[in-house]
Amino acid sequence: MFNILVKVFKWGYDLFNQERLITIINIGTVMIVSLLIWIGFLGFYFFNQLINYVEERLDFAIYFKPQVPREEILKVQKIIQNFAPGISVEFIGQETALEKFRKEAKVNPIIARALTEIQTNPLVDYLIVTANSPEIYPKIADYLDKSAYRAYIDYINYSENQRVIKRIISISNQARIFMTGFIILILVFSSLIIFNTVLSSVYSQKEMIEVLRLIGASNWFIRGPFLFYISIISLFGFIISLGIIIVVSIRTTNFWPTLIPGLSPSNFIFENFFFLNLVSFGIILIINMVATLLALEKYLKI
Amino acid sequence: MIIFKNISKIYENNIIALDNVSFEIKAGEFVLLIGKSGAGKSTILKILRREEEPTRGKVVYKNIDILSIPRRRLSNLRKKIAIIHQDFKLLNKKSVFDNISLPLEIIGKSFKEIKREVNHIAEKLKLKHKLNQIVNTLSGGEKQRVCLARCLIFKPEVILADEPTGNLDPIATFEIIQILRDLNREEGISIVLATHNKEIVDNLKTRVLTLESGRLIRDENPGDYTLL
Repeated sequence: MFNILVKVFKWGYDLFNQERLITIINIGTVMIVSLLIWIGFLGFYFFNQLINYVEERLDFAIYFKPQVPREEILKVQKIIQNFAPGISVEFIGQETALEKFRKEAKVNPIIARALTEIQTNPLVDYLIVTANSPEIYPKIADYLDKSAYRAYIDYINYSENQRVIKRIISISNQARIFMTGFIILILVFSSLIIFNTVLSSVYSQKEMIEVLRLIGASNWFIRGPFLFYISIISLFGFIISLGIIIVVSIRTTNFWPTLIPGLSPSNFIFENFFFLNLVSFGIILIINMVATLLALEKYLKI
Repeated sequence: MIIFKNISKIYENNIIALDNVSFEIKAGEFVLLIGKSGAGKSTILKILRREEEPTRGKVVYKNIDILSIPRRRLSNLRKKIAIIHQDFKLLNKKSVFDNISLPLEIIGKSFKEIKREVNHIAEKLKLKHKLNQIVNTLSGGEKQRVCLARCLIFKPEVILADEPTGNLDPIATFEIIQILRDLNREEGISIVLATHNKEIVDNLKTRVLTLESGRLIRDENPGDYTLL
């Protein structure tokens, strides 16, 4: 058995070594396909970051009537905070609200002068609700609308933001479906490219397959060297594409945050290095192996 | 040893390659299979190694119905029923040694054993001095001897020869037929030789199966044969 395995590896290595042009073309194809898969991963990451960035900027405020005691407002804050995981509720008191307003109004001398002239604080206490997933906003708004606390609330600006929030929820969902479809399309496309290349390399070894069958080699002995060959090809193609992706992502580190703050493909790659490599190499290897087995089947029918 | 019973082979478009062919071959027999191109000679040889399956009929080799052998076990049958072809089917870019040793490589023999057996066979077929030569550089007769050496390394019980002298000059043809005859006589290997070379048929007085348009029209056995 050991001797047979050694022979299979030797034959696989011979295929790699002898047909150099075909080998180079195969490595190039695997590299392109591997890059496409990486582009799919990075595209998915970009879309997620973009959606998160937009979603993080979505919030809504609950403004309370002036006479509502602060303890009651803090109760509402606690209720909303416990409404679902990933919700943060910030309390902005009347004073803080005025301070913020003053800072923002500095640029407008008329408003700044008006604030000095009225000498009272016209602002009220309010809560700013931010959630990881904007789908929760309508539920909170609905809950508050029906709760006993409705009497304390002056108004919720959710209805003003409602259209934007709904639109963003819809775009996020569509974008995720689109990206999943995009990755599936890449995989189908990659499979076709690889299948075509593998078919050509198997065809170029038609003579060898014929001879092996003639002398009574088992089908697995014939498949073995091709599977070993395609594994080496996959590894080389994958390593080259990984190198390209790492170099490009590091060289462009400063560019990405200008598009979306916090966007860093290199961080994404290094933080998920093991998982991403395992998945993308796994995909490449599986596509290649299946394509090889299918291409060989034609010659091993009987 | 081999029973070919009511075999028909019909390809797509209703092309009949074999039409109800039956014959029996005993162990150690030398049988010539003759007929024009397209008569069905190669189809019979392919069916004997189950490289093709008949549309109807039964093929028995040493009491085993070869059509019922699972695909994964066919390699064993093909080791026992070896074949040589007119177009040699060798790995042309490899050496004579590599080609002859191939059958032993696929069963995982050690290099020491391979070397010993290859040398033994090469000696027998007068190929020892050519072992390191690339197959592409050999003459037709030498290539066919390499094919025979490759066959013999598995110690087959039957050798099927599909027009093995079709590409050879008369001297090389004589050599190959002589080797086949010796293998048959000295080692008891059954030989089924498909040919349309009339000279071989006339000189090698042995059993002749004549095919015409896929049908076996004659089965003559003139007794023992002599060469030239």
